[in-house]
Amino acid sequence: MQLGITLPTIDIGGDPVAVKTLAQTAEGIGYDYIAVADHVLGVNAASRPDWGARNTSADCFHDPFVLFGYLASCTDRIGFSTEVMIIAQRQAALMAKQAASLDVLSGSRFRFGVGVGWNPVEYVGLDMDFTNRGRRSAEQVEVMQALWADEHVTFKGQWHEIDDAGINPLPLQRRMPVWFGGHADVTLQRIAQYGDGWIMLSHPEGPEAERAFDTLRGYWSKAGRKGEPGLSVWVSNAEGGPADWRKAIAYWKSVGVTHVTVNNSFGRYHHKRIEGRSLADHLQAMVQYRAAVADLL
Amino acid sequence: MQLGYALPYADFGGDPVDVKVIAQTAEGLGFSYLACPDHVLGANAASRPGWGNMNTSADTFVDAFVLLGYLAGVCPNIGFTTEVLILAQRQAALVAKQAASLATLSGERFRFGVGIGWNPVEFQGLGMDFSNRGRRSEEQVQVMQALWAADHVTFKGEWHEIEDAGINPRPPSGKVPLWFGGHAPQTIRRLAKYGDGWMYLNHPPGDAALRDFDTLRVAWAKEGRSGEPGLSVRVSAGSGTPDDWRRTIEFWKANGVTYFTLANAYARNDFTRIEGRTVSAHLDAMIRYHAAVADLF
Repeated sequence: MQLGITLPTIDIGGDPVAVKTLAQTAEGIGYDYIAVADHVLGVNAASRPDWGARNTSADCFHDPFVLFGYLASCTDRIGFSTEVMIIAQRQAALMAKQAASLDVLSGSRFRFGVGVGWNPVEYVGLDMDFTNRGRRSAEQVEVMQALWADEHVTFKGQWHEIDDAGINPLPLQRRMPVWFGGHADVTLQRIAQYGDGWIMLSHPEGPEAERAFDTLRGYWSKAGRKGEPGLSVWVSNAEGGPADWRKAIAYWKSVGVTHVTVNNSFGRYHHKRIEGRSLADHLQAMVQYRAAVADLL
Repeated sequence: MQLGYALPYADFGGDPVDVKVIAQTAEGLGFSYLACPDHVLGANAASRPGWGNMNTSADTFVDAFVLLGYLAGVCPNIGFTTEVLILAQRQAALVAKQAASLATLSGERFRFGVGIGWNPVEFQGLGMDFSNRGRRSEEQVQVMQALWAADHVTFKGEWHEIEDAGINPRPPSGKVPLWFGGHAPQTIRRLAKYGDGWMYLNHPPGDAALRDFDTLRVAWAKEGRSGEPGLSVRVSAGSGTPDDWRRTIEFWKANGVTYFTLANAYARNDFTRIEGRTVSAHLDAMIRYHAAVADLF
């Protein structure tokens, strides 16, 4: 099982030394990958009194491609994962290009987590249709996988057209790992059709999560896929103490989870965040979590 | 005056070690910036008989934002520029975001060169309108400069709408230096209004260039801009002797040029490329050129 860590730019900001310190420390103490979330635009919550706990313009999100490019050169082994990139508000061909460039520069350390987002304000600002984002995202994945696989692509879909052209460099991994976030039934079907794994945030430990994994496995074998889908969940230092963390890791491992991301800056749904918000708080939590569970991985 | 170096990876692919060696050597020798071109897609020339010597899918273009992010992590001092990024085929808000992330992570070492491109195949593949790319790029610049300058932007233009939202991180200074490529009259007007400098990349030294510079200076003054527009040209070690190289620089210098990009792999218009295509050949040409002209800077 792989253990990853989310870069808490929401708490510590985007300072280059801070993000480099976190990434290099994570690599040094044995984390397998670094995860980041993605928002291109944030709303001004002051003009939206009912906005609630969702992300706003006050939350720092580096562009994942630029950030991972930067961190790829400051690290040697650690992997990179978007959890998740909101793909339907970006252009598919450009994402294919940027993901391929990152794959080449990082030595295939990038795992591409994709989702469709929830914030229409971002879609308006990026001039993309919010209402068809799910269906369109499936065609985007088809476009990207075609561009990663072949030097020249001719594609005519409902929303994309490519006229015998391609990206260069191609990724070293001609089938880049694509993981999906979200929990709609159709998302699970898309994973079985196009994906390599599921970033599952919707269920805590327990029978609901296990049923959802089984549903995905059913679609997976029905689609004729070999092996098992990858499964990823989020955990946090804020969920009890070291004994609880060990129980969580052992549980997720027992139900087939392959990737666990320690996310200490996300406090929505059933997830809990740590109280501290400084770089030191996050470094300490990251060190403590791995020390507590390393022998179980 | 600054001497920069155009990364010639179209010759030897995007291998990260090669790119890093070239970049770090340029930094170590004392070059002031690294320049990176941009194409997202390349056309398959085999199916297009008359394509000529324009770029194709055979030419490597690592995505500029990912590559410059990568190099920002291993080159602590040198500047970075795009020469040029094809703005109108990308989404303005995303470009603003990626440029801001790069500015933040590099400590504001990024100078942003934009152009409108020439290849309808790319625009089609990216779902953007080729026919209005010039006019649309002007509005894109307005959107980007607004997003860099303020936490929250409300914008309604012909092609863009932002509803009280913003990017985070923003560039620390609230702006990214914006240079324009191209030489249409509209480009000169846009540059005088919104830009910091002209990437005058495709023309040889001579009277025609001086007339163009005067045209820009008149437009600059008419917009009420203070000081002088920045001027950037390409130079090459692909032809001539060290004395010729020095004379070229002295000509440009006497006429107000401030940035010189050594582009040894560029062979269109009046430029001659170096013969070799290996990393060694490029390092050799870089070192010889620098030694011949460094005292002029």
